[in-house]
Amino acid sequence: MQNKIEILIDQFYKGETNSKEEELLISYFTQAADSLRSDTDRDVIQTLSSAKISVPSELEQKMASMIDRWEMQETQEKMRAAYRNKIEFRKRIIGIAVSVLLVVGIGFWYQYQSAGNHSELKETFDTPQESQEAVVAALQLFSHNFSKGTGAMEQADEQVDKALKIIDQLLNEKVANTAVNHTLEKK
Amino acid sequence: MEGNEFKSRFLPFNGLIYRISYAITYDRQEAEDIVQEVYEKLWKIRETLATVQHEEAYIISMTRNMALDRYRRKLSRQTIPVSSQYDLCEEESEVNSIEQKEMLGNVEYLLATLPQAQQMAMRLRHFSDLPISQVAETMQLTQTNVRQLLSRARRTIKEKFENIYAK
Repeated sequence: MQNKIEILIDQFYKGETNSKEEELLISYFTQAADSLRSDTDRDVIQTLSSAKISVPSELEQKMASMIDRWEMQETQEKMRAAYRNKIEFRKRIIGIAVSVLLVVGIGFWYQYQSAGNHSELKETFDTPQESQEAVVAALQLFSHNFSKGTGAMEQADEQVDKALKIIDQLLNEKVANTAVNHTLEKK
Repeated sequence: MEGNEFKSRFLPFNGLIYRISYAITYDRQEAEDIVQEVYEKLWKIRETLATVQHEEAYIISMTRNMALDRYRRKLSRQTIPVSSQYDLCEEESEVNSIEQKEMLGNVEYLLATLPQAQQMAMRLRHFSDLPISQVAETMQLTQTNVRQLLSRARRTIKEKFENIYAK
């Protein structure tokens, strides 16, 4: 045994011992009152072995809680992102709808404006000939519209004449009837 | 990857992350912050972790880089006196007797006088209780190199220990 311990101590100083062998040395120096080697070997080995640090017992639990917290934060973040995306999507849809309405509105307005203010005649001309042609065209347009208006008036006159004739006829009939009635009463 | 799957896959590494962080920063609070930081980063990239073959090696590497970054930032902010670099107080180590505390104080002082690589190997092996394979992974060295560093460090400490007690 002592021979084995001697070998292990030599191996320890050569850096060739493993954890199990070092444990054996520590246990030997703890139990043996007087060792073969000097007190220094015992002190060095015991002191180095007693310098071991211990891992805090709550460390694992602490880390597990942190991991749970990170997971929860990540889930919440994902939910928030999904909500933000939904809102963004709605905003885009509303934006597109408003744009379409605006374009359609402008289109209608433009069309209305064009129809209302449409002018067949220009105000200025480059050549006298163009001017003359424009005057002729304007007069023709006036003449055409005047004719239309006159035509309409003639039609109205005819209608009025017809109506007057009907009224005269009715009045005559009424007068004739009254006269007949008077004659009959006298008799 | 859901929270439960992530926890069952990565939570078992919390002790390892803490030990490595502590070995590098010598500060319990910093070590806890690093554990949180590592998990936060792992959580953010969890969807890409399916392709990672060696999770342990990946986590060790990530922890090492984060802890070194923090330690360098800390060093750049302040000059840490040797005596206060080590945060091994009563409740966090397994020190029992006053005599051992006294010796441990000396070991800490002796460790601080060692070259950086030896210090790191000793802290990871003895303070953080990592096997040689994980010490090698953390230090990005071969296991043979780690054993050499440990050997040199242990011999130096023994010599200095003898000198202290011989006086």
